[in-house]
Amino acid sequence: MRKNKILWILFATFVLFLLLVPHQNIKVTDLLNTYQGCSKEHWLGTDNLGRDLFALMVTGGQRTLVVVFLATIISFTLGSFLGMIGAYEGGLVKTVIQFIADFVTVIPSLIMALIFSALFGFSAPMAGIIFGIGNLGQYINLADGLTTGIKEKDFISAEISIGLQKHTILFLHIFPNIMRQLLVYLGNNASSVVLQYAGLAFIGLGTDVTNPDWGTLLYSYRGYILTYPRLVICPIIAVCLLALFFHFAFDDSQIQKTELTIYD
Amino acid sequence: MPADLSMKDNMKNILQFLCKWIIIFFITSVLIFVAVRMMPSTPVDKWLDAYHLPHTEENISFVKQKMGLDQPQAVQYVKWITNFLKGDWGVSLVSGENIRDRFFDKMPYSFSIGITGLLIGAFFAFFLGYRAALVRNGFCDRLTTAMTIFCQSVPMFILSILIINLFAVRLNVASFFTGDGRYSILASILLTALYSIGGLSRVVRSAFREEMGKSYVKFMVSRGFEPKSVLWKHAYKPPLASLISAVITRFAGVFGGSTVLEFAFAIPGLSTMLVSAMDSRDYNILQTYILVVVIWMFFVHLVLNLVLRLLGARREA
Repeated sequence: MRKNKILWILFATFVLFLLLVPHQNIKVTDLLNTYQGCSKEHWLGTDNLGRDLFALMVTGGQRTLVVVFLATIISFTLGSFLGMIGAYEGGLVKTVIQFIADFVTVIPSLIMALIFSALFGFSAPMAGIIFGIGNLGQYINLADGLTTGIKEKDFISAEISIGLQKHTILFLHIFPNIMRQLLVYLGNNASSVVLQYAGLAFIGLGTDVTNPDWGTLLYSYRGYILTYPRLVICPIIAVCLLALFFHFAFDDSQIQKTELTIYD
Repeated sequence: MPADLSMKDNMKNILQFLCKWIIIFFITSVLIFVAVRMMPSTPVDKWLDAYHLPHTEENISFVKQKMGLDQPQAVQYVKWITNFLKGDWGVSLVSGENIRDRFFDKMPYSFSIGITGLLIGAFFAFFLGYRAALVRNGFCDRLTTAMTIFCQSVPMFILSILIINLFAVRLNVASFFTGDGRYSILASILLTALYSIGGLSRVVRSAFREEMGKSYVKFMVSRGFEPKSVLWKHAYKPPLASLISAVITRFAGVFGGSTVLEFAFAIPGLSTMLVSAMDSRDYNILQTYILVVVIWMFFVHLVLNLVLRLLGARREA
């Protein structure tokens, strides 16, 4: 847990930094000072149009965070809620919820996001909502399986028999028990959302180039990998670090610990 | 009596499965039909723009009639869906090509990338997973963990940029954007394989670990059989079964997974077609694409259920 705390503090400072750090206007081009190296005015130098790379990276980071937060919050809250209700109630409710889970997983969320961004224009909140809905199915299935396992336990039957209300049992006694596994999945899911969003911006249907995303930056700078590798390496490192952070911050190694066998 | 009961149960399950997928099919078809018609610009505008024609009343109504978009929407929907079910997928609104022919032209690219890549990945994953299970915290165990984390933190397109840069620009041994595109397809297949090895080998590993704790393995090992060969010769079936079901589950991602690769390597597959259809607002291709995805998913789930049932039956027997 110590390691996780350090990670979370780092992440909090990173978010605050992204939100508060003053940066130059990303739309200002300066064709006299293109491809500048790192300097006091331009922390990461300038790109082919003389735009400040640091400002572009910060804006891209803010947009990525919006997507990740929206996507994970939507799928986590809605998915675990529906999954728990379905497993607890059983019968028709469960059938309907299972149907919803199957329905949202049928069309891959990347393709859904591609279509919607081509149709209605590309925006970070929309991408977040679509990824959130697209990943709902896995959360429902996971919460459903875990709740079904817990429901059979004695303390739940005891609680039912002393007449505790349904929502008390569900939210105060079942949810804390399954939350740990759900959070591990949330970590993996959040890092895959980071990658998917970068991929979506890389393909860049309907993107507005004045709103830079890390994927968009990678796409537009990919030709400079030999001449100005700095332009390509910055977004790559940013994407990888953020994805790695989500992977490790929610990683709970106690769950994965397997018992020793005759082979060890 | 029990056999009869299980027959009835089976029939009920099959019926439920079919009903579910028929409902999914129709809901998706309605949703995509409505969604494409909510777009701010229509294929009529795009068509007129492409031929530099003014957007006059007369032109618009002519093109609309030509594309069959002048009829009421309900009629359009019923016509489209009945023709689709009969096997006539209509023609592209822009080029007038037969959509079904075009799909079957493009499908080999996307499917060969996804399916071949997955199968190659699964092949290596089985051996790696076996080695990883054998020595806890050994080299293979750490390697597969590292690969899993790598796949979760480095997007595929970054690697594809690096590959293009290394092989085409620095070493100059392969050309990705000229010629017949065989290097692009090869690179995409290898990348897909690389990205599936990590996760799949962890699946194999945990299944092997589970077998290792079972009494028949303990018994054989303590009677003096060689531990390695006990695992390899007698305990390989359950891990293989988990691997097969994991691979089939991943087939569901073939459509979405190849999108970025096709784009990065300029492969003329289904996703490239989808992207160009979005550009020209080609309603027919967009609608058909989504329905084909639904049908593909139906088959993936069908095969998965059948395989799981077969394996489950064998395990019980």
